[in-house]
Amino acid sequence: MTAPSVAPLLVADDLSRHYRVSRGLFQPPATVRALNGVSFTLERGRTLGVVGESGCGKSTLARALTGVEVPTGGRLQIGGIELTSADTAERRQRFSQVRSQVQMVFQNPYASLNPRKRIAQMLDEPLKLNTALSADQRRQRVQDALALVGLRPEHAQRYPHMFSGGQRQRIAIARALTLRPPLLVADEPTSALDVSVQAQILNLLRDLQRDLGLAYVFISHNLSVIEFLADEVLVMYLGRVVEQAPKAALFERPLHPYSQVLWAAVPRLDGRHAPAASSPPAVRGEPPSPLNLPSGCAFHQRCPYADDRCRSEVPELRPVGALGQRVACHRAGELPGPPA
Amino acid sequence: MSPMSLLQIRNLTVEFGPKDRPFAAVQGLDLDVERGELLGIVGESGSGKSVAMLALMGLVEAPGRVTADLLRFDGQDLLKLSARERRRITGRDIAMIFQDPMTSLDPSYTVGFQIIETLKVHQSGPKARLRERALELLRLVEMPDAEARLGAYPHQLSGGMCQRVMIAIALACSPKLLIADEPTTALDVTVQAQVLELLMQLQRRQDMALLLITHDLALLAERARRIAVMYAGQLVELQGVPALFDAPAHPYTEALLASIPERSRGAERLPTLAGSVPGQYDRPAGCLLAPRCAHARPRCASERPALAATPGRPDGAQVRCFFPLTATAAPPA
Repeated sequence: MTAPSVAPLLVADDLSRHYRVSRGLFQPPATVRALNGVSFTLERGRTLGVVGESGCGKSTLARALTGVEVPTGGRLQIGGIELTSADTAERRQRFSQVRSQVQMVFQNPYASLNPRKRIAQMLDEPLKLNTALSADQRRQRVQDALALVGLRPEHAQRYPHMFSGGQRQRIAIARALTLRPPLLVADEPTSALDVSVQAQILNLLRDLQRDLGLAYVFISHNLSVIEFLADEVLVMYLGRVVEQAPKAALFERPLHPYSQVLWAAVPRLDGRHAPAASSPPAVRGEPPSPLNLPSGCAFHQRCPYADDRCRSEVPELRPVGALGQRVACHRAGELPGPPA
Repeated sequence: MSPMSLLQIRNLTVEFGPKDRPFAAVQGLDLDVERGELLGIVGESGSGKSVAMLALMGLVEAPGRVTADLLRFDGQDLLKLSARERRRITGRDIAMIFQDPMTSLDPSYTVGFQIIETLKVHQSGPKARLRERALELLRLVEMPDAEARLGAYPHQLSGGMCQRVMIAIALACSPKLLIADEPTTALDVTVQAQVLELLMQLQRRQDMALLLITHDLALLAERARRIAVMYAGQLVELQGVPALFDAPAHPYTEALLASIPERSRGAERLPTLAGSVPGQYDRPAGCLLAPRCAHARPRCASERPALAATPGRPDGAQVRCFFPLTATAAPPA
């Protein structure tokens, strides 16, 4: 189970998670393709940013990566441990091994901490379940984790309601770190926080990455947060990756029409132009239901550039341009770019 | 400060808790809103921005205590009106929409019923006329397939469409002032852009003043004419738009701007304010920001500054600071 250090920390290959949902008594169940053929690799110490709107599958991806959900298709490998293509009992066994490799930080620190437990108890729990450490060793680990996130030892004996939102998110991060995993999956970890507190948490995540060599899968709808933290970015739309690119290239020039729309829709401090003046037209309408995906490219109904091929043929991710961008669009590269 | 302002608020204070040790959620707020303007109010949680507007609407309930020297709307002193007369104004001339459209609508009535209900309170007419007006309103807010949506229940609509319904209800009586409290926070960015665009179009077309409350400065950067910044219940800065972003006068505004990742692009770390917003028990005696302020001097710890015009700034710029940043100050490193 020990992997050679050259192997990527995380390999996802054609990862899918489909749900069958009942549509009523007399109709056959429908399939929701919440996650539909997502592939990427992540090296130690690097950050993968995932952006997209509600229903794009970014949270399902987080749940699949942490073993909360079992993928229905594709391969997933974390820290050299193969997590898919095994029978249920075997998979359960492997996921328990992988607990010490990947941990998760959730969006809302008001909901993710048990109000009836002291901080020390909460941080101790993963250690009790996953390690054979003695009580003294565990106590030391808990203290170490609290120190890492900038909390004082006496905080361990307090309850969650005694902390502010930012401190609670620090506690949630400390809890994820007690097992010393090389990978953290963070699902919108700052979206419930005020901007000044968000800045503190982002700084903390940066510091931890530098000091511990952590890798992050960082999910957010906030582009400026992604720009601050990520090395590489996945843009997702209705369960699929529509653009995968190094951060600098993507923020310089998003190539997929959906990425362009997303970038244009985000309010910017420096973009004090009339929004109507920017070149990619704001999309009309809202994303279609994931229950009833359109044929061809899932974005074609809202895309200003869609043609017949887009309506019938699903585009695959393909390299476009010289900056390492991969785009799932038939017309990428020939489209007018966003304003400089 | 002109006597013709649509809304004048003087020394608005909202207190909670025991009378001998009150907690002021809003403290001495002075604010003017001009006809047809887009004014942004920005602040973090607990800054009092929502409570101040609820107080204006008469929606702060006991045990909350609202006091003000003046609340004048469109020439009428709201404080002198009976509760009944005041309700006629709020709802008709002042309307408000809230953050979460899904919980603002009643799940057990159709969208059409809820719009017509509002129309009935403030105007009379045959049922068919009201229905016609409701449809007109849904078209005004660019609801797709408006006719069919009249009979839809809120759960059948997406978040963006629910917010359009809320806007339709708010606009039912052609208000002179629309207060939008975080109207797009619960929505996705592409939908947010559509809803904001709609609000601004309506504001221009109907010559309605729009008070946009938000925590997102970037959202106001592209849209508002003036921005009021609130901190711990006080208005700390009021400035016109390019100026507020190019040269904030209050240290809090400066820090707030700097903590947005976009503002510090390429930086290794984001500048932050140490500590957190003072709560009920740890409000400092002097300037409320003093313990966290990078520019604090001894005077700041003992005396509370008042909101005042600042020298060297355009008319109407106000700041609550003894030592406001100068317009040419270098941006924080």
